[in-house]
Amino acid sequence: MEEQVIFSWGANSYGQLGVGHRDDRHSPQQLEGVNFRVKAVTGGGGHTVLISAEGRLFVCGWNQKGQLGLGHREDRSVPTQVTALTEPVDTVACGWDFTLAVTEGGQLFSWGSNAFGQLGFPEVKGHSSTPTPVQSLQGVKIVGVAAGLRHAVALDDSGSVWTWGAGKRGQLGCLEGGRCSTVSRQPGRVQLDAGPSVVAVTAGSYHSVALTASGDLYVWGRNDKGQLTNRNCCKHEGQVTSSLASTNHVQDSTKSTSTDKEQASSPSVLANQLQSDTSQKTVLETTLKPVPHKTSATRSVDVVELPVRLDLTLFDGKKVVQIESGWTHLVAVTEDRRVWTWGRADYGQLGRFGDRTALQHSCPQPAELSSLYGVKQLQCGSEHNIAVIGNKVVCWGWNEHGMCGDGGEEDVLVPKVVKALQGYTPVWVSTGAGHTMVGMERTNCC
Amino acid sequence: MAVFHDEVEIEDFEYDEDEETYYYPCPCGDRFEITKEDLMNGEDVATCPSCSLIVKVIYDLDDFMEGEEEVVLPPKKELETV
Repeated sequence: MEEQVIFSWGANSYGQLGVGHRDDRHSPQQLEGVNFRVKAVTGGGGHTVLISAEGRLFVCGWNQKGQLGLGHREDRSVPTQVTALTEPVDTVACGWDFTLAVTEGGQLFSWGSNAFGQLGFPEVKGHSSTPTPVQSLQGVKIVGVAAGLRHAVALDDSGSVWTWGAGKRGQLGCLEGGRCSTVSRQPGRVQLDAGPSVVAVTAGSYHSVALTASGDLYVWGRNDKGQLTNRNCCKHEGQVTSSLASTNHVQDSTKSTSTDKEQASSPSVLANQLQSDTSQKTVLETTLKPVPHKTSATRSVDVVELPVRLDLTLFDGKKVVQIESGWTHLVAVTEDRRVWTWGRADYGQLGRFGDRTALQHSCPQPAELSSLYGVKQLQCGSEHNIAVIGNKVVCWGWNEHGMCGDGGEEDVLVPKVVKALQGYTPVWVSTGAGHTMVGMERTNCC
Repeated sequence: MAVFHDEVEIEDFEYDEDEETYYYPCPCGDRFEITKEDLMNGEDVATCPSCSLIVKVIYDLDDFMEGEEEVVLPPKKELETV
């Protein structure tokens, strides 16, 4: 008989670790009193949702907008059952302060903040603390869901992608009919030139990603940290370094592994996405600095409204089989089991710059994170990550609240084994913005 | 020298009318905050009560200067148009 043990660590301002208090934990702490088997967990900004093996939901953490779905707005620091949702749940996505759940029958429910229309029903102003079906998707069988800070992305069983919520950064994509909304309070179907062939969706703070059956990635939304790869990439301190030449220069001059060099891009691959820019400077500073007033107009160049297909040569010609996203960085797994990272890099989010002096602010060029070859599981928090390699749990990235579980607060620049978990077998891993949770098994001996 | 986690335009903050405070998500799970009064005083750094990160608030001070008696604020607008 295998016994399940759940550990959590990291930021705990609202009780999102589920351990009965609100103090951060820099190393794994076991959840007590969870007397049900958990098949998956997902986290939002300050809340956490556990799905039991039977599809029941248990929640803890921040509840100011009713994001726990408990019918009230009081925080909970231990997992508490969502009794209003009686149908078994298959999968859940948490936005900053809202929650989306897909039942085993493919029906979508939402609750929490609706300030930006992210619940998908325009009737509710403000927020909803009770799980409510998204009526406009009645008859559509939903099979996957993702959430950004203020927007939602859903995938139906025909392979079509739906978006709603905040869209000012282009994160909703252009919907069928040619509408590119800055806000949409009802789901709309995203226009993709791949047609309805999507098999997975994910979302960052202000961007969205769709993975097709053929292993292509479509990306849209905000690109201020290179999260959509090279297009309008690499904005530092108000300066832009988006010419391909300078991008590669940055990449080569700071490479920390042999594989980075091998992944240097071919100009022809990226040329179709480049916009002309002749006056940018290469910037190697590693931190953001205050800059003079920046207008909305200058920021709009960071927005990609029409979904862009990433050329597979970015990934050495290999098909992508899994994609995960932090707030502004991404991690992809290709068919040859290699792992690639790009986007914001300054807290070590990309895991491939072991020397702090080599850290760039952002890195729009996907490159291999070789130590993660063969990864079994992978999740991204806002600025940190967790993965399973073999039987080991590793974390890397921002660590101020101990989200990397190594007992300290220093950023973890390359994937590091969470030693406290050795001796257990990982079953699932999960993240919220600044917190981390894992389900482990230990075999009862003799 | 201060290092900003990001720069955020004021219209991307959510405004709490009761607390007269603007909030924006912090990656730790808590929220960056800056009060209306701070903004009126020209302050442009929003802080997170739970961590060391700070963001620079991009706004036009003129929008927050006292007129006759009440400041013109866009609380409804930000909820509906962001």
